[in-house]
Amino acid sequence: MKKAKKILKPILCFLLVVGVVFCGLYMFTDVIPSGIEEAEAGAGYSSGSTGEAVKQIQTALKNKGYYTGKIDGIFGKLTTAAVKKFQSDNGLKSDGIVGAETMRKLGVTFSAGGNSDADLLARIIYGEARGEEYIGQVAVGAVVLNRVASPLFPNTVSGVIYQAGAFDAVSDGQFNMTPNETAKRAAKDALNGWDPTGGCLYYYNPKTATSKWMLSKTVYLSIGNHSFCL
Amino acid sequence: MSKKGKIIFGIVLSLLLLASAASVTMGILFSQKNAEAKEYGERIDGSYQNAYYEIVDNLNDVETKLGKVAVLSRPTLQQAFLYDIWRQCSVVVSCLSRMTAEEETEKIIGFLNKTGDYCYYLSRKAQTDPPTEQELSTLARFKEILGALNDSVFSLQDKMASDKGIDASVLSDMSAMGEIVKNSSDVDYPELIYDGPFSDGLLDRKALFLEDKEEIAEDKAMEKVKLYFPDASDVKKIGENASSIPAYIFSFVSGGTSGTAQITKNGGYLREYSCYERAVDPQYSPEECAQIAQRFLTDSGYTDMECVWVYDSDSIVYLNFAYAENGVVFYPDLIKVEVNADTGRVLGVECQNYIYNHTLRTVDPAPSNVEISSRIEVKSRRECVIPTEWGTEIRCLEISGTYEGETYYVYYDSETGEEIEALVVVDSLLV
Repeated sequence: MKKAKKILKPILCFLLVVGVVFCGLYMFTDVIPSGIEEAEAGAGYSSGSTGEAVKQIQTALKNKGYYTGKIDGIFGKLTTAAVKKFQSDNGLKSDGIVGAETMRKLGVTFSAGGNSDADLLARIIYGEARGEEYIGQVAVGAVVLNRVASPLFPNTVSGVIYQAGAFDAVSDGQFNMTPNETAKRAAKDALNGWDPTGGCLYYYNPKTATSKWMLSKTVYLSIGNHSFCL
Repeated sequence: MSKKGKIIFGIVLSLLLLASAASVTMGILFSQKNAEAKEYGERIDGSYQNAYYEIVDNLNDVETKLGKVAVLSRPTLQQAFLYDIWRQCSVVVSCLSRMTAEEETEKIIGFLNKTGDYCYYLSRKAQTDPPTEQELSTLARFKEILGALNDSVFSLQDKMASDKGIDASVLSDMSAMGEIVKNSSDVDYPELIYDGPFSDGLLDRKALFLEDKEEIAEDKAMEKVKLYFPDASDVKKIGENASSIPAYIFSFVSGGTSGTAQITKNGGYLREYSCYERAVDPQYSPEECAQIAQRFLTDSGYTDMECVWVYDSDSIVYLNFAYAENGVVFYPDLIKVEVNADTGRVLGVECQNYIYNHTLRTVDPAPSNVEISSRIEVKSRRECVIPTEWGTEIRCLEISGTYEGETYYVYYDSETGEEIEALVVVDSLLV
């Protein structure tokens, strides 16, 4: 029995280590696939759909005088009828399904991972400044757009955002998170010309920044955790 | 072996087999992951190499075309080459920025963008005003610097061949080429191009509206917050803006929502206000929102503003107001306002353009005749002043009309009658 215990002890230890490593890999890396795939966004919204997107559709329909019901985010009979009427009045196939063309005509601008400037901007704002006050989020969007207009940087929103090493959120993957409504609105404001920074091209967090070059720049204003400079 | 011994042996053997199976599985997963990582590495290198060869090709082309422009005497080809240079400089900038974003890279990008913009400017005017001797000598200087840059970029090929693709050392060498364009500081870029809001000398830009306004102290600025937002509570100064429109920054609560406003140090005007409020169920029409916004501007000291653009998005109404005097609309003096259509509350105001540009102007007589395309069905016309992309202003006649169901705005230079801008209305509810 003693002999058996002697053999069993190192094996159990070995198994424990293997188990811990295995669990660690499962939890903290994607070496071991979880087997769960995210559902892809549907091609459109129709009867039975719910959520924020449906609220936006209802709002747009109400603004245009097609919908008189509640803005409740539930795609029911009233919403379907309003969509059909709107489609028919706008030369679209009257099927009650809100697809890309109906969204465009409605002026609904949300996207499920599209690549428009507003979407890119909302993602960089969310990735870089989601904990900041609203003005601080608009300011980050404004810096991206100031760079687009500046001769020192690429000339498109995607060029500026994806410039190698330019934004931590792109390097560490936070850029790929789904932005919330606040970040989306901040992106819209920035695209509409809101610039609380007055033309700044850089920002950094003075508590964490280490680049001497960045720290040597004159700070023109500070909002929350970010110092903005030219 | 006793029965107990056999059981123990069985357990031990099972555990060993389990451990071996786990090890093999992990080994397979790791080797798969390594193969994937290697593949991604190759793809990134391929993408870098693609960008590198785009840079080589386009830089070479730009250098050649800069030479060709100088030997041509007719505008047609000159214009085409100059436009190509602008476009190709933009391609090089895009490729370069995908590879590196070091401090030195900014210098190369700055040089290429300025070269491209200069050529774009020359191409726009080439038809009626071909490049002068001085402009051609500026192009020759660009060509010289681009030649040196081209040689350096090309020489990286040896390093890429001897090493394995484009590694950190090649990228670092590429950034270091910023040294070459440092010598371009002697190039005299025309003020026309870089006198705009994003010029190198942004901080020197004058806020014309505030020029004769007296500086106010912080407590007076705080009173202004309460004047513009009568229900403001918990007003706190949270900082200052030291840009070319110096301002105090205050945070406060208005309408139950926390927001931030910037009050100019000179004159105590509202420079910017923003807050976030959810909006889902519109109770106010865009017309009513426009009236609310106009009242807010008048109460904040911005008078004679005319609503020139309205966009309704998800129960938030965005409005642009421009200063109007004697029937002439001054688009450079623009103020943007955002209204929550659920509550009718102003959620944002942006007055930067107005503050930079608003001043007393001498308005020339209106143009007598312009040639309007017969394809556009004219709905309205008005006198206006529009800003140019390089910070100047042009007096124009604005014609709005429809063509094939879409609304267009066409602008004619009042002096020359020349068409200078055409806009198509994408999403607007004109009030």
